[in-house]
Amino acid sequence: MAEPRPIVTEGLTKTYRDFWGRQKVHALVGLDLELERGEIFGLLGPNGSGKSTTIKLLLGLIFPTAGRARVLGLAPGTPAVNQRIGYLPEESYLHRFLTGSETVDFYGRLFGLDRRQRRRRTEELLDLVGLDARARARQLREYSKGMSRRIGLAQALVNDPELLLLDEPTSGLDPIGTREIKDLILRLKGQGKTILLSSHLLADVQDVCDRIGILDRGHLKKIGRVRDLLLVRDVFQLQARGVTPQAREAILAAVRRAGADIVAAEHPTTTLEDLFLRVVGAEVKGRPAAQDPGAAPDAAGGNPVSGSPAATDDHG
Amino acid sequence: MAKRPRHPQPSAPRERRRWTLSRLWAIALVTFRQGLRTRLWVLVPPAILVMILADLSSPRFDPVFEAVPATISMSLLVMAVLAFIVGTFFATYSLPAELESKVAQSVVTKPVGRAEIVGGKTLGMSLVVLLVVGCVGVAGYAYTLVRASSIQSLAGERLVEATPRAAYPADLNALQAVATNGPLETYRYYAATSGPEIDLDAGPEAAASPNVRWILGETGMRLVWSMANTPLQEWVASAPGRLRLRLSVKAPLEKPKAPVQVLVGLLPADIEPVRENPRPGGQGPVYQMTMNVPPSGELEIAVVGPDIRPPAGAINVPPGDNLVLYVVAIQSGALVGAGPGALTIVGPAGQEYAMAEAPAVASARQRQRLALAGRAKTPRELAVFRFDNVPGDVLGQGDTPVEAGFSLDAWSPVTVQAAAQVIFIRSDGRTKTVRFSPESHHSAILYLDREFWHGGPLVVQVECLTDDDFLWLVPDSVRLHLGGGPFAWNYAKAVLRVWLFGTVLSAIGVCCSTFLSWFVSILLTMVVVLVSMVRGFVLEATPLGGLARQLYDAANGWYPWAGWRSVVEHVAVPLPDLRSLIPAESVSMGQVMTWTDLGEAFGWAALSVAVFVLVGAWILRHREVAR
Repeated sequence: MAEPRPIVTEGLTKTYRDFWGRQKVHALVGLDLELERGEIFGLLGPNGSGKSTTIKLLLGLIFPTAGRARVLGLAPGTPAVNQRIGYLPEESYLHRFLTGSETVDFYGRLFGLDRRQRRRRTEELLDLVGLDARARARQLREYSKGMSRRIGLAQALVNDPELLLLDEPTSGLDPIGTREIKDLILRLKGQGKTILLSSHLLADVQDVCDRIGILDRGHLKKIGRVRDLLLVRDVFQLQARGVTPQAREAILAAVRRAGADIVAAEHPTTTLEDLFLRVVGAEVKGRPAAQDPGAAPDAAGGNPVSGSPAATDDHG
Repeated sequence: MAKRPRHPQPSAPRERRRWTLSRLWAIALVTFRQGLRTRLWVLVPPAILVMILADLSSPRFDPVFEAVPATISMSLLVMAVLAFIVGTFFATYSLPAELESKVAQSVVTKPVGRAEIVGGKTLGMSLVVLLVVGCVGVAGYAYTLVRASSIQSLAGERLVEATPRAAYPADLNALQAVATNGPLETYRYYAATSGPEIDLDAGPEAAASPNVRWILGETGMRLVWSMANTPLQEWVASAPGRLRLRLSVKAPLEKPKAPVQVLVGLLPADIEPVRENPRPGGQGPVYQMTMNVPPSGELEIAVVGPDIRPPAGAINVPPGDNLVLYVVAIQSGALVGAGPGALTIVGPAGQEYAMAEAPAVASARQRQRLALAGRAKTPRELAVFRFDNVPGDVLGQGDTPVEAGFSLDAWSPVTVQAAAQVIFIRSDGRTKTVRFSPESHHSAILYLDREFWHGGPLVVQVECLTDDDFLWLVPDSVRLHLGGGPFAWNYAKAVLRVWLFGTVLSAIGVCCSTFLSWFVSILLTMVVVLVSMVRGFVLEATPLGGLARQLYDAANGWYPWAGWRSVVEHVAVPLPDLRSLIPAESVSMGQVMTWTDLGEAFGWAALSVAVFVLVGAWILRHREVAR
């Protein structure tokens, strides 16, 4: 029997009501969505567009007003589903009085891991998200926002989930941290996991997602593969290295002779993220995520165009 | 017209996963850590300080007998208050705080059931209560030992002082016991099978007229005839009637020629008569009057209906059912009696209804206590307690005498110190008489040599020997004292009961917080706790009590079982009996809390917690965790 799709929604609708039952907000209207196994799907949209509502519905944190959702073929929110998913909330909503190690250990207990498994998993995950020994022993109330995101991601991965729901996974992180998280997301995809992430940071979504859906005021306005949606079909771009001024003129003349309009002919610019990573690259090398063989080598600043659409095409 | 969209009811995901202790324990542990790391333990030092200061500043009438019980009471009170604070304020805080800070979203998206969340929270709170109550308990125990260490020597000094002044040798027994064994002695009490029954030693009069029931003046005893199933109310509805009484009277020995006065009245059976005559010229109904009894003993009382202003010398028949006619003798030492056929009801047309039965004799009561009037000579009142066949092995082995305790609350308006006499009567009629001075602040201890009695039936007859004094008696006024084991055990059991109290409170708090904000949860928890504490009163004072009685009758008719009472009371008021979880005052006085009592408390607490956890889990399952 074929395995069910990780996420299926049919006409999923959520209307928030006030205490007296009067309608307040149509947060989500008739969402039809299907995720394929092993893909990274990005939910895009401005604030209040219904991204978080969708994720909460898929987690059973709120109940639909109409329509239905299936997660891994089951009703959302049941322990059987929760056993196989990981969830990183919009902000890391964790017990602030626990230390980093205690936090992962606590969530490990909820998944029924025994003491030895929990100890091993805690070490692995805290290494993976780059929290050192000192950070692990500190209570979460003392954590910076970036550290909170890291520990939040660790708890989301404690059960090695098949399906990950990440709500604004890079919010609050510095560019290095953002890059590490994106690399980690790509590595998880490489392990066959399905990932649904929501973000309003368009560059992040563009870097890692296979497909995206754009929500606006509760309606799904657009859905498709990133490359297909971003492709400008009537413009051709050629990038070459070592072009002399004479060769440049010859190329431009050839283009004109062929009857095409030249829109732009200039040196490309890199992204600020790449520039930043090159400048502070030495520090990045010292971080565990950067040392991981699965991490993209350009994360350390090797390839100046790694953050470009052409680079994400490889994942699409 | 546009069709109004129909919104289906929110559907909660169904849970089929079974509970696991590891998840429950994980949540309990986190809640416990939350309690520790939010520094709830800082409540402990102030609580200990309050306990010590309150104890030191409380006045003690008699430190030898009162200091240690008061210290134990104070420490248990402080623990109960602490359990209440933690149970009410912290238990209601934890879950709303997690919902508000959205930590709950991280937890419920893990494979954990709502019942595990609510149960784990309750268990964690229970551990916090155990920690704080345990710390105060240990401090309270240590402080009690310190207080007790000085009491024993003080009792020794007091014994030396009191010996020359003691009215009776038995008065020194209690002091001697503290001086010898210290104030931390614990007891198992063996209660009398029946009693107190107020009896009358009427002297030669009783022998002369065996069918006559006697009462004694100024004791509150009364002769009572039930007017139920008589034509009295029907006859006087239209016109006045009469009550004809034939009494036997005997003037007080001290004033043999004085006329014997009685108070005669009609009242509902459940109302205790008071000796107040109506004001002359009063407008209201008159239900009783004072009369002189002629030497013949014949009395006629005119009676009128409830709404008629009575003429002089007549009384009203009160409205309502279950009326009684009562006769009270007024002068001290006067004997008044009546036998079968002593009362005749005479109707307006001269028709007569003779009561064949002799009257009943009722005794005076005040707040559930029976009054035993003092009188040095016959006729006089006696209180009788009976022990039916006490097994010898219950009394223990060895040569030590059997210890009997007498908690007789004495009221001495005239004398400074009441005197009492106790007669122990064996089944073969052999008696042992002991006199002592009853104290209201501690039990008098009397010893019975094992040669005189070592098990079997025993009758204990109590008299008050001082004129015009009263002894107030309850069923526990006379009981046997049996060795109770180490004080530490008893104290630990009391601490455990306070912990159970706090645990049930925590369960209530957590349950309320599953659907309310912190502040409203606190208020609701307080209301639930308050009603739980006074559920007995609620059952008495509201129609719920009637409902419970009806249910009990129905259930008992279907299957006779004494336990139905508790079941139907919990159906009528579906809240736990929190009051029963708090250690009784008697524990402070040295009474041993039995394992059965403790087990029963555990059972009720576990049942209450389970119900609140399941209700809380159901609510949490049907509410949205995020908005």
